[in-house]
Amino acid sequence: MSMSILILQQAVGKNCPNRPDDVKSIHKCLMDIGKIPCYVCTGAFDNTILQGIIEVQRHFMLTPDGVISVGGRTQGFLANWKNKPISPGVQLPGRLREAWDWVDPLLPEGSYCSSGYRSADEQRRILHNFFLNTYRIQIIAKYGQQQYDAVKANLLANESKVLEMVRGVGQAIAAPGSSMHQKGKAVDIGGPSAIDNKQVEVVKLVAKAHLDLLSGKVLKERNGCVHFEIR
Amino acid sequence: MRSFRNSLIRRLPTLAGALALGIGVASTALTGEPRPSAGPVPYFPLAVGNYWTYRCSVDGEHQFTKTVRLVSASARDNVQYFRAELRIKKDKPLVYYLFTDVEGHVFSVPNPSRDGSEPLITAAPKAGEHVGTWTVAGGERIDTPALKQVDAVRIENFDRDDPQITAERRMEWRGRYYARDVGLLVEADGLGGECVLTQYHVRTR
Repeated sequence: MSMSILILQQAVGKNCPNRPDDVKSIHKCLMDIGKIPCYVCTGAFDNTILQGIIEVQRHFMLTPDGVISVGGRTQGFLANWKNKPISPGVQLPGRLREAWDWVDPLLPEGSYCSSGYRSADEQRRILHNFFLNTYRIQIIAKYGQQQYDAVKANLLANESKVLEMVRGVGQAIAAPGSSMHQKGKAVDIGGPSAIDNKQVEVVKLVAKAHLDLLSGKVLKERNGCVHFEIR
Repeated sequence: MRSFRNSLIRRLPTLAGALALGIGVASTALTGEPRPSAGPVPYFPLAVGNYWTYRCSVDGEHQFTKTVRLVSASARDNVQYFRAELRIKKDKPLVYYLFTDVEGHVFSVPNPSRDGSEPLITAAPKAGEHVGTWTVAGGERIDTPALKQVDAVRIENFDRDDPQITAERRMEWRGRYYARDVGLLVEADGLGGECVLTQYHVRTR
């Protein structure tokens, strides 16, 4: 994890001018973010640095070119490279973690991972709370006390009815076990709404570079999150 | 639409006592017993014929469309109660009532009386102000199919913009966005559910 000032006079990379001061800056940056091992750089461009640049570009390029242009995308991401926090309790198993790791360091400052895998039981807890507390009065008003009590008698056995009644008073909710979060295929990114568009842009870029992992579905949700899904 | 969830504070004996003594509540906070009468309500225009249609989805997957329509009005104890009908498809509607107090705060209630009323929005919401057990988070500009780049105020059950909130707690987040001269724009929750305004018609009285 790092945050460096990265000023380049000319491009660095394969078949580039590779001014020694520029090469040293890139070398330091790549070491700081752990893309290359630590060693002393003489200012000469070498294969280790090239591989480091390619490793950075693999986050967002389907075919890395190994070139850092002045003011280009690679320089921009490198200059702001930073691992973002993951909120307590967020679960990112397997490929979800892999997807987050590709996206994470490119996200704008202020971003964090706010949700990943959610169990069906967690979803069920919220659904039951909607039924028993939040919307109890409305459900009774619409469906009647008798029907409410009958469903309430066994919430698990009557789950489809619980869902129908909660939705019937205007609350959108997924059935327990059915949402992409519960299938371990969705991640939510939190942060101020001012950076939502930048987050969407980053995820779309990463999705194009990892077609086999990210599905390309990216949503700016009204709960303050940017939601993306994996295949 | 919203639940008629209680306002806990409303039931506090201390506040009731304060009201009885004529101390009342601060004009910017909405925690007390609604008082009769009403003026224009910029953040929730109430007039017979007004309606709002919402597209409801979870993580972008459409679930249903709902429409809230104010179908009639009746007066009781100097309060005008607007009968609201929430319809989804051709289901039987959910009926509830909306009214304003003397300061222009809007309440929702299951029957045309003040018993069990739930505050929805204040007349001029300000960041940090309480609306029942919820809080005004502040203003932001949002898009809906009905309106682009509209200035809205967000009211929420707790502050969502904290990376240290646990994933479990975040699932319980709920919020509403209101816009001046429009009404409720968006309802959203921590499970990715949201109802977004697609069509509306409002007039002030």
